Amino acid sequence: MAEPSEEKQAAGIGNILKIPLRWLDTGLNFIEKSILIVGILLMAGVSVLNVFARNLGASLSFADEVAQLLVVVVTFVGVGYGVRNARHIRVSALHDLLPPLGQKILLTIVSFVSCALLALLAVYAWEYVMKLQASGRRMPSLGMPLWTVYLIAPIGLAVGAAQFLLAGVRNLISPGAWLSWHNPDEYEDELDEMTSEVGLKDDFAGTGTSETEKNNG
Amino acid sequence: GETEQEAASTSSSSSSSSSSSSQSAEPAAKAEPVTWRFALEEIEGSVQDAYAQEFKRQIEDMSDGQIEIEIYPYGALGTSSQLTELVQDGSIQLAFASPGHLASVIPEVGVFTLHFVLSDDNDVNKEVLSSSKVHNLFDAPYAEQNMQLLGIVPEGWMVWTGNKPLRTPEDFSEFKMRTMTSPILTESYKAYGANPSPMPYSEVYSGLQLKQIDGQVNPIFAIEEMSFYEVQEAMTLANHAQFITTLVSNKEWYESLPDDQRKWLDDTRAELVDYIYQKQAEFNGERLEKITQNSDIEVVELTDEQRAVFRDASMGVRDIYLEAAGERGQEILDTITSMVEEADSGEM
Amino acid sequence: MAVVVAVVMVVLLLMGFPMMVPLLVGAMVLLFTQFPFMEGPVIIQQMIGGISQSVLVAVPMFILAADIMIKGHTADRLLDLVSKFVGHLRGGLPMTTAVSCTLFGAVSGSTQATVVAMGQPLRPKMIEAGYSDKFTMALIINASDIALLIPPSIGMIIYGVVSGTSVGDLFIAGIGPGLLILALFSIYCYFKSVKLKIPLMEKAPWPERVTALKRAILPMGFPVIIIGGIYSGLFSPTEAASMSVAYALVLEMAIFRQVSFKDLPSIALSTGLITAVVFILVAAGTAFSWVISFAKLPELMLGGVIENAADSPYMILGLIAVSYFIGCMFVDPIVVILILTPIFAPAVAAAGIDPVLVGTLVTLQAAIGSATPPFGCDIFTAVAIFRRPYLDVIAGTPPFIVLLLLSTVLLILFPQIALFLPGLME
Ligand code: NA
Ligand code: NA
Repeated sequence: MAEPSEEKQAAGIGNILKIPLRWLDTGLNFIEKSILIVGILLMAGVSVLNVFARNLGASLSFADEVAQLLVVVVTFVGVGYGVRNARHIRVSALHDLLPPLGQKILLTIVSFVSCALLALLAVYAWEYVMKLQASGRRMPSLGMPLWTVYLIAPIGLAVGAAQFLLAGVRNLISPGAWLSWHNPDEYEDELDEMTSEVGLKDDFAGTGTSETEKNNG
Repeated sequence: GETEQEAASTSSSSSSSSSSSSQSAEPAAKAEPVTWRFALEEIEGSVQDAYAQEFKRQIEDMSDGQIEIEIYPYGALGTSSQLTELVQDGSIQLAFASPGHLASVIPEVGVFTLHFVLSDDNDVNKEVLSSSKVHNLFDAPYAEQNMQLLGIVPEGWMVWTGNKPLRTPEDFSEFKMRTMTSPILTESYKAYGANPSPMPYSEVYSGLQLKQIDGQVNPIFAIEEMSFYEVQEAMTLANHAQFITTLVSNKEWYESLPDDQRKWLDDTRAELVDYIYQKQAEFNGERLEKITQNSDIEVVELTDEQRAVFRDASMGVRDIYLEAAGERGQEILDTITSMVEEADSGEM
Repeated sequence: MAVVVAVVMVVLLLMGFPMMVPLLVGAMVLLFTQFPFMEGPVIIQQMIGGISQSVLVAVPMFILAADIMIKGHTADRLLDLVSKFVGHLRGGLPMTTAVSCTLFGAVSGSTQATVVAMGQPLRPKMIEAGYSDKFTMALIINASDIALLIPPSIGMIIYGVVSGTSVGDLFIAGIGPGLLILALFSIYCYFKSVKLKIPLMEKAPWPERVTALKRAILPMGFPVIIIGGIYSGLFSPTEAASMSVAYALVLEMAIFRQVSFKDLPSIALSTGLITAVVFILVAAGTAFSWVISFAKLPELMLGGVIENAADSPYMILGLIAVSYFIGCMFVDPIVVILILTPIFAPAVAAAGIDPVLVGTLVTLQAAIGSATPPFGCDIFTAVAIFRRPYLDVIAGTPPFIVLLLLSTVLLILFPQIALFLPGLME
């Protein structure tokens, strides 16, 4: 671990960083959750409706298209949300064998490299969306321009990159190893996250307290 | 056009690597060979594959090995619309692009999914579709998408299969017809009184088997390839539309080709017009024979009177096309229909 | 180059990078070194294309249905039914676990959900009765994998789409091998119970059994509705997933009244999150497989082997089994199926092997690989749910893996295990 004095300084910088970030984070979190919820429920609704409609003699030509687009939306929105909640599937076997400092260093590297990769992909996604806009490709049955929906790809990837950046910064400014800004790399917490009723409580406040405890301790 | 090979089905990514490596190993007396990548919307053994293989043979021959064609059958590089995007950004040089998906970026090509635009006589269609008059009309719309239209390639008549023959619009009443998700197609079958039901290509067989849908429409080779005839009672040949695809290249690439290379390309595609008309007829004939040998499916050919009823019913759908394709679409439709009419009456 | 990329990917994976990172880095390195004329956005094109397949909509729908059933009564009632009927037998409790996992797999379509739904209530009971925790956890993980074979099955839907095989036929074909594995596991449970001298449990009296049966009748309607709906042409296998959501909602909200409208957002959020973390891997896996396919690598690597095996269907089936098994030990089964299926398709077609048999075999390997160290994804689920270290979770798995490999061999030697039922349906 670093010298205590250095650590305090880093934590101070961290606190200044946290204030504007908290606003953004809470807002984004709410939007992401809402999109995931609405996306999944709408997917179910449209698919079920189409089964009834077809059997009553009038297929909904757009049902399949809508469901597929929702899958794309949910996936890319979930990129950022998954990073925030440390839910992306990863192999932790080797990581688990390392001492705490090793874990912290590893997680710092992982966070910044993943951030860079997602940022690059966000740029690619933006370029791709601009190409689609130029070609004017439309959804076959809804007739809307496809790029309007695919815009979620650069946005989702950029949010994911931002969350990885936060995770990396967190590892630098706070003691302990962090999977994301909110999730310390601890067995118990990770476990809670992976049970089925995940991440529903807005845990910003909760993490805040545990973090002060750690800073004081 | 309505066939699509959405699932990788029997596709593989193997195809044409055999000839290329040996040539490049030769001591280089001439310039390093150039590779043109050519992507298909269909699997090996299809009409498009036949076209590409002959194209490869002729152009490699003509260029004395200076040009190598690398063929990617369906599944290797993505879905049909992805192939078009790859041509547009120059990642690959040549691809087939069929109206079923291409109409969502070039509405003008939707004309080929309209019913009863072409002649019942395929010689007439060949003449019309390979004419420079028709090609020129498409130049601007393709150019706007950074593509060069190289050829309009027919792959055979679209054929209806169903749990019964479909002789009249009454037969289509309450009939769940599987189509691709394109407004022109779904409206066409609505106009006949059917309940058009979009469904992924890979699920059509089981959909027919389980009677979730009553029928589907595809060219004969696809009906054979996907074994749809095993689970259907009748095939109706209405000759309402050809399955047509277009051969495209990247526009900038085409324009920046050295003169000799562009000449080889132009000569080859001109050479292939006759080849592919003959080939697809052979191909569909063989497949039809296979179908009738392997099953007792009823094959019904509509009479001119029966076709006329469908033709009248289908006319309203042209408004949907014109709405999307605008004045240029109108000109294309008028030109093709008048050329067909002229040729048809000339022959009578 | 391919070797360098593979090494880089494994290193990134072991460093604990989210699995999408090695896949995407591999794709990009290959793309830019092999095809400098290609542009980065093609990666995004392929990622979006990979998840824009209508059949994949079934995945979130099955997960949603299972989440509703876990939140509600369905899972409990099924469990109660099984324990009332087989609980008193020698090895009854582990058999109850195996059968309940199979049954829940038959209604939910999701392995992970099965581990959650059945593992949580049954594990304490098993330990209380005297079974070791290692055996218990291994049993739960492996029995949950039967869910992959018993319809509805996400693995089979994915295979069906990629290979163009009828998903309906695959579903039916999975039942035989699924029951075979259940039988083998039950036999193992019997001997385990004898060896540990576990006292027998009391036999439930018939009135209790009847009550349990009555309570479970509606939950057991899931497989009936799904198979019945598919075979009567009301809906496609893909739509069956959405219909089971509809059924779960009717059951839990209107009849059992265990789930209220207020619960739906949290259930949907959980589903959305799981969908996203799996599908980003499908997306990245598609981009990766696209690049290797553009580079024609699969042919170069597997082509010779496949060609040599071409004469013998047994060789091809064996090769398929080994490739998928190893693949699923490292990566999510969906990704493995997406990458490997097109590579083997020509050999399968050339040898004239029934694609339905191949699909069943592939799904079985996906099931085994998912429960096999080092990276089997079920193991991670179990680590998370049971809160036990990785090594404890895998300690009891070897006997089960041996039994699963035995069923693989049986399936290759006696394809009728899978093909008997679809044959009957025709
Ligand atoms: Na299942
Ligand atoms: Na796995």
